[in-house]
Amino acid sequence: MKFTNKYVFLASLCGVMIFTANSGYADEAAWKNSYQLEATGKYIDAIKAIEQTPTTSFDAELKFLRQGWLYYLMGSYDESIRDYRLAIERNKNSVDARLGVTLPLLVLKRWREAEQNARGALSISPNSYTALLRLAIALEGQHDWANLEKTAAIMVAVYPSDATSFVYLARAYAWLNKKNEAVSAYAAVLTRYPGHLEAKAYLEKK
Amino acid sequence: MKNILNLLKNISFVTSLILLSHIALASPLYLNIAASATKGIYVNSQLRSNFVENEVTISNEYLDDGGLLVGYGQTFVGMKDTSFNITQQHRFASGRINFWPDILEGRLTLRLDGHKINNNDFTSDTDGVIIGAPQISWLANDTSLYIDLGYANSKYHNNLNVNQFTSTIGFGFNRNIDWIQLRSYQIRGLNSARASGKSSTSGLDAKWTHYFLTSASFIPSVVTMGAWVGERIYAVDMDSMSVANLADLGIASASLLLSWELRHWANFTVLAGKSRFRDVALVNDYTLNLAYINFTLKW
Repeated sequence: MKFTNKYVFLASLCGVMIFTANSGYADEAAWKNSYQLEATGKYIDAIKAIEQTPTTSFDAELKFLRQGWLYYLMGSYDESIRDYRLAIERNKNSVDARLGVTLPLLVLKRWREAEQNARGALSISPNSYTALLRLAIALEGQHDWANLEKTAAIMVAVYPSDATSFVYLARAYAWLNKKNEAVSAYAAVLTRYPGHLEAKAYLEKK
Repeated sequence: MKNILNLLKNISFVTSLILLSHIALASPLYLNIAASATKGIYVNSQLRSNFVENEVTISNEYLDDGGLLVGYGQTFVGMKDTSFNITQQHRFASGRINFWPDILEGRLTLRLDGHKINNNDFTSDTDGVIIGAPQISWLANDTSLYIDLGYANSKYHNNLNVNQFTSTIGFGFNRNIDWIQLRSYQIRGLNSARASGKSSTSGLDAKWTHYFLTSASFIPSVVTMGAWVGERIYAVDMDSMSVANLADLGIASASLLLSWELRHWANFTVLAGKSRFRDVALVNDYTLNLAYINFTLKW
């Protein structure tokens, strides 16, 4: 009986070790190290700290998200896009991944794909401020003033205290030659952000 | 304050109507259809009177990754002796794919164009032309610098095979509101009996583009002034997707292009140009004055 209990105990211990390895608890130190290295600007080392995370593990998605962010911080935008896309493949409902990939796409002026991903994030999380803002930037990059007006109109309706939303609305109105509406929108910017340079410059010209 | 309140009321009403429809995912495919017409008058030419060209292109792009363009053009060249009038069909296609490798800190584009030209030239010298033209280009991420290298091989009947090498540099200034492009054309391997006595030609094409940041509808969004110095014959222009298979030796040109962004989905462009040519065999220098209009729709 003692002999049997000993082997049952050893088998159980092995099972616990396997479970904890797959659950990521054994990697807590690696993740902590990665966050600390990021805080000191050592982005490539922060990536290396978590690169042993198995692609089959529960935390693989988080690893791709984190690598996407760190590569973006390093200016390695193509690598960043690759990792965010891997995160999207793993989890099509990930707002994090769809918003994350818009960052390197916008830097590269890949406006259309940035627009696609921002809209994808909004289909999962309607009225997300970050998604609306990234969509507005992508539409402005394409000079799509009509759709920028629509997007900014949603932003100011849902976030009426936000100055940036009114800035994008004002820009759309200005480019669409809706001068009175542009004046009103830029005036709204100044009540939310007194001294806003762009708003003051436009209103001083009128 | 009253204006702001009214603005907010209008926005809330409109927002409730458009929210759901606006959030829908846009298609990743972008379609352009363009139609253009060119009219030219020859001045002091012993052989030519005028020409008219009409062209249609359809292009499809997948997000920012690249795309395919196909086009068809018809040209009519009126000769002084009308029995030698030329009617020509030009079929062409262009494919491009974009990459953004981090090491290059910019966009790398691989492009391949093809042209097929048929006409009723009784000598067949300018008929049955087949052209292949690859190009590799790089645009900096901040769009302040552009470089390309191009090659075009044109096969004509009756012992003429034209090799064209182009190299281009483009750079922006004034916060990229202004753009200068310089393109060198080196045309080699010419059969001098078919090329105005030339075995090779060299020249430089220069363009200055200014982008107007204004919403005033009467002011064009883009103005481009172009000029050519040097010599070129049988040139393939990858910007305009045109082939000078019917032209004599080009020795100078100047052009002015104005383009209006009527809406996000519609562009209107006009161009006026003047080019000098030399017919070496007839010792005849002449001028071509041309006007061009283009209308483009985008989805």
